Amino acid sequence: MPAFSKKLMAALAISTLSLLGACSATNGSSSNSSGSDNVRFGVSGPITGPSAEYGTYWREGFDLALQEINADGGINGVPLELVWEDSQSDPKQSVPIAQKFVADKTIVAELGDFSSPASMAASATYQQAGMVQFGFTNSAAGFTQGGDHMWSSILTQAYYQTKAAELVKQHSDKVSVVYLQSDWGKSSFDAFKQEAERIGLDIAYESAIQADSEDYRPVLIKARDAQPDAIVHIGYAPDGARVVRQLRELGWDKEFFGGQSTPQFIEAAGNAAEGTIISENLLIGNDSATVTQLYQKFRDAYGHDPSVFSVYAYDALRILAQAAERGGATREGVFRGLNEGGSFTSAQFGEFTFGEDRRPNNVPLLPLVVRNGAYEKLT
Amino acid sequence: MLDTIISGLVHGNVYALVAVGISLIFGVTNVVNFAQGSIMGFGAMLGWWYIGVLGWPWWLSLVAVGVSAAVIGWLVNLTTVRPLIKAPPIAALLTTFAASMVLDNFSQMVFSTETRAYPEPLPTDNIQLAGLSLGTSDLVTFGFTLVTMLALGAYLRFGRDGRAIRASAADPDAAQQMGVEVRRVQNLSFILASVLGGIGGVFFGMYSGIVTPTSASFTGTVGFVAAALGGLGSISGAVAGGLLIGLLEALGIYQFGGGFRDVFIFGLFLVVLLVRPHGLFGSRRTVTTEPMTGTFLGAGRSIPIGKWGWAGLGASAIGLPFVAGPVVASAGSQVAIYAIMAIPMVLLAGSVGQVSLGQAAPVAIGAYASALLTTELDLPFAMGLLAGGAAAMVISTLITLPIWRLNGHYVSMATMALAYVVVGVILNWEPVTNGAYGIAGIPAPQFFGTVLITPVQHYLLDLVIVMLVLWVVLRIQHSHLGTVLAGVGSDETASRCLGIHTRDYKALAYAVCSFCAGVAGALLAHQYNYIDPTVFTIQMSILVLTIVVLGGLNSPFGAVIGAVVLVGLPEALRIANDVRILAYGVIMIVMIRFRPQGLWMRRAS
Amino acid sequence: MNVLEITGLSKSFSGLRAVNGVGLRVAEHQTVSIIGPNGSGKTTTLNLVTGVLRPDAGTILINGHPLPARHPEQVAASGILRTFQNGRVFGNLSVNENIEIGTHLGLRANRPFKVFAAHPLMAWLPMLAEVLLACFPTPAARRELAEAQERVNEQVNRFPERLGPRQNHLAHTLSYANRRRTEIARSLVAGPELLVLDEPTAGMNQSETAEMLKQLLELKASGQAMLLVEHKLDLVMTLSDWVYVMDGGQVIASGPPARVRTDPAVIDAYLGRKS
Repeated sequence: MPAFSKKLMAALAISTLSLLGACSATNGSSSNSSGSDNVRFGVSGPITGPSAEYGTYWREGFDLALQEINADGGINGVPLELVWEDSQSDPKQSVPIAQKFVADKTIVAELGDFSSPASMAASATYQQAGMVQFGFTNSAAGFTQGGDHMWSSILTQAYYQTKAAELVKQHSDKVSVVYLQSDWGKSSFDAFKQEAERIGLDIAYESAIQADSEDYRPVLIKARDAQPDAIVHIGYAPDGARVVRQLRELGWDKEFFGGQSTPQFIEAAGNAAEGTIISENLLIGNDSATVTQLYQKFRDAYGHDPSVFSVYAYDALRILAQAAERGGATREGVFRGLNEGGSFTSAQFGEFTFGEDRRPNNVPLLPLVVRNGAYEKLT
Repeated sequence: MLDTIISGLVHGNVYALVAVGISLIFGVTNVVNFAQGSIMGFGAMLGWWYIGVLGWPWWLSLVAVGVSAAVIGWLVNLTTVRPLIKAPPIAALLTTFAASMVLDNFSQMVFSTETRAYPEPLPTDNIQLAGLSLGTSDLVTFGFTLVTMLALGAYLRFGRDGRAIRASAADPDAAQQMGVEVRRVQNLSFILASVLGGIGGVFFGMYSGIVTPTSASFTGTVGFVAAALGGLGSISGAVAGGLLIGLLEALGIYQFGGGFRDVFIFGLFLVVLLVRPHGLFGSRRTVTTEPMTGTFLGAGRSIPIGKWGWAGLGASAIGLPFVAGPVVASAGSQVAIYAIMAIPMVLLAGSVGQVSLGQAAPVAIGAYASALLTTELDLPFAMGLLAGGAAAMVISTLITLPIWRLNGHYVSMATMALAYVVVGVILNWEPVTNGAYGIAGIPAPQFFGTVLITPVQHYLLDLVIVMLVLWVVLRIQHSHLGTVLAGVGSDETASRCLGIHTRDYKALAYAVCSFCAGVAGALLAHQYNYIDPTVFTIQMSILVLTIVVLGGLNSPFGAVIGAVVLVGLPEALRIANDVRILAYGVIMIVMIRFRPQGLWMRRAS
Repeated sequence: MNVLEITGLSKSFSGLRAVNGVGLRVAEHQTVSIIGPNGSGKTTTLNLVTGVLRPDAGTILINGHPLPARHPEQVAASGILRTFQNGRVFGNLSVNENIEIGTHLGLRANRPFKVFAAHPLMAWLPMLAEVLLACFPTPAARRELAEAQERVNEQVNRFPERLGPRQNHLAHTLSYANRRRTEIARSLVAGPELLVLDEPTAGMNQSETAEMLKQLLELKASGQAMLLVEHKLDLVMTLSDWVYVMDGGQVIASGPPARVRTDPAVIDAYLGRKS
């Protein structure tokens, strides 16, 4: 028996080592072969898994931006290329991806991840390697606090929710609030509550809700019975659609603030969406030339309007490309380009500058209302 | 209050629809079919396709969904359950879970991941009742459950096949001798349950109003809990269990808020299991006393490695990051952390033959305990690590203490419920755990002033702990204690008649697993620097279990190989992004079917 | 002194009275048998005595004392060890390991604090101690296990030609006869005051039965008290000091073998019906 096992072990050890050799060899070759040609950004995001649909939206936005950038001569004449890795937006998987990107010297900056935990888990790795991590959907304030290489083109929930509370206050004095039980939902609600207290908006009832529930009625019955002037939902499109549907079934006919400014929300909520007010919006009803053009390009390319997530992705890539153009297509260059200040162009904010928190500085919102199955500017 | 009660019952009715199918299949085959929820989800999407996209009338769509679901159920039985019918329950439990992964992902590929409004072939809000709008659809759903329950009940009692089904449930061998075609009957029960599940999916869609391919998965899990609550094998118990959970969930949420949902559902379930393990309406006899793993998966002996073998393996493992670099090292620490969770499972699932479906619970407790102690009390890392293990062990073992006089599915379900309850408590105990925010800024591992920050350093630390755990588990396996543990798993009654307190030894095996899981959780926390409740999912629990099954239930080193394959391989399979989870499910089915003793085991001669 | 004394023992299964007011006694060094047709309640009686089943009524005294809790573990700890009708060996363990488990009850150095084992919360102490000893055995613990192994070998040598060559075979590969032998060795190694045997020769052919009889007679000569359930009357009559005859859950006759053999009620109920 020992003889057998020794042989087996030797074989195993040899094969392990040779496998490793093969691994490092392929790593090396891939970085050599394509490195000199293009400027490469890594994308860490959900292609499969529970958040996969956001990955799909990203791809549409990225692809369009990439075409435009490369049609305009790339980054200082060098074509831009994206390297995708599927993290399922899972912190367990985003870290090894970060290691991979950091080890690949041809990758000069990174975009993503989708959820803040997945991004923040990987932040230390990027920060240490001096690579910019551009988390364009990470509205958790903690994300850009992870280090000076963490940048974001999305406003924080604190910012959105402060504006939201102010908007709600214009319509009512007493509200019931339901929010998703996640770090995102909780931090959003805390910001909302803080502002509400400051401006004297009374919160009569509050409860967390779970994203994977299909029945919110027990919570909504209690929210309704607290007799508020309005009910506020802090969450995403799928749960927002369920909340507003079930709320209308419970006979609620007063104001509803919530949902999300995606076509999906109106489609899923159907008639129940009528009258829903959404404060978190930068794009819809935005008649600036850049936005109008972007929408047209999307319709031409994909036959439908962009999801906000597509626009986030589109803008993120354009901003990062501008930074690389100004500072140079290296890791240090991208960081320099962002850090030196100056204004950037984007569809969402038009011309904007980055603030102290490495996020867009003080930009105005465009609240919406759903009328006849479509979004309209709230007047 | 009345509106809350009604809405709870309407919701509970949806749980009942899944539970009926699970209970029917359990009654006939003794298999807990994890895929039932996925079949329902698939049925919901098919209904959306037939009614919403193809525009078929609702009755034709229901028939079409029923036929499609029947085919799926038949396939699930054919590929994952029937070949394993003589194997111990854990085999089919894992393969049906794998089947549910395959089905969910297949559904995502076919129907895409978008959220969709469900068509309304029947009015959903035309009836006003106590301030609620109900619809014809809700009444039809209720009627469907009622008719299903009565028809299945009558069929099982009076029909020729029904009697055969009951006979094969009671004793498949005897039934076979008496001329019952057990195969046909089992097939029939699967097809029946799937048709019910598929059609139930359409009702689920109408009730929910909004569907995605995975939106029924939580309902599927709760349906499984409902079936057990009512008493596995009892059709009317399943319906009662579903309604009861719906009702109590609604009342609990109404009282305490939506964040307490999981604590409520699974806490209730845990309490019932501890007090009345055979469920509220089940008969005591359906509690299986067979060990879950038996000699099917545990058979054979670990392939011996020998001193030189260990030395070689140790050396190549230590050398690995220096040859392969930080990317491999970082994947390697993932593999190592999962190995730390999985290795001691050979004592629990292998030796004493009990299956934990909830290892995420001790992992979470260990991670939080260590994170809190090091951030709040400034305890050194080493202390946090040990305290994490100890806290995980003490808390998990104390809560589960009453279940160790039970066996089989009840242990699996109780441990799974524990995982949901622990995560639920962490989410809601905000003053201590910081709730959904999680804990950030957890210090990196540190010994005597040396801070370990690079992936290679983390990997080496994890590797040392893997080796320690391997050593301890091998020592236990080869000691008198190990023999006793194996005896307990092999024949509990005979062990007790030799004076062995089997309950203590089962709890001990679980305690060792929980301690290691807690240590693994602590390592995870300090290496991510950040944890939140979403890290500790049911997928994590299943993965740990699958790793030991893959490696071989009696082989500690097999668990390491299992971790390399199941945690390391997804990295390697990264190319096939869309089909990754699909492939993972298929590998699991094929593995359990064709090499049940595991990779690192030889069949006993 | 009676090793075992039971009175008024009853047990029903869903209304059916399997054992109904049974009383029996086993004195020191005595061999007592229970005979009776299938379904007469013999095995149920053994299961009640050994704590595998809980009686509905009746008292069971072991060495003149009742047990505080009638769990199989306590029954075993009080010196009553048993075998099973269908030969329940630990299939995934070797013959050697099977018998080694029988030594568990008597271990001291390897099982510190074992008095706490019955208590669900205090059981932590002995359990953790056992884990520590498994990893770091003390010299005393090592010595004790070596001694235990010697006693295992003694038991194996009770069946030298049968179990000797199969000491390291997995038990699920054994023949029925060898499983029975393993079970008996596993019980004997614990040094029982009373050995309870449920059909020790079931499934054995004539020569194997004769061999078993010889071994049981040797045991008896060594002073081992035994309680037997057995179908083979020749063996029962040769071996027993006292025989109880059961039918329909009740003891219908009892006495020395010679008397029972000629009891008309027995012939009618048992032998008569059988033929």
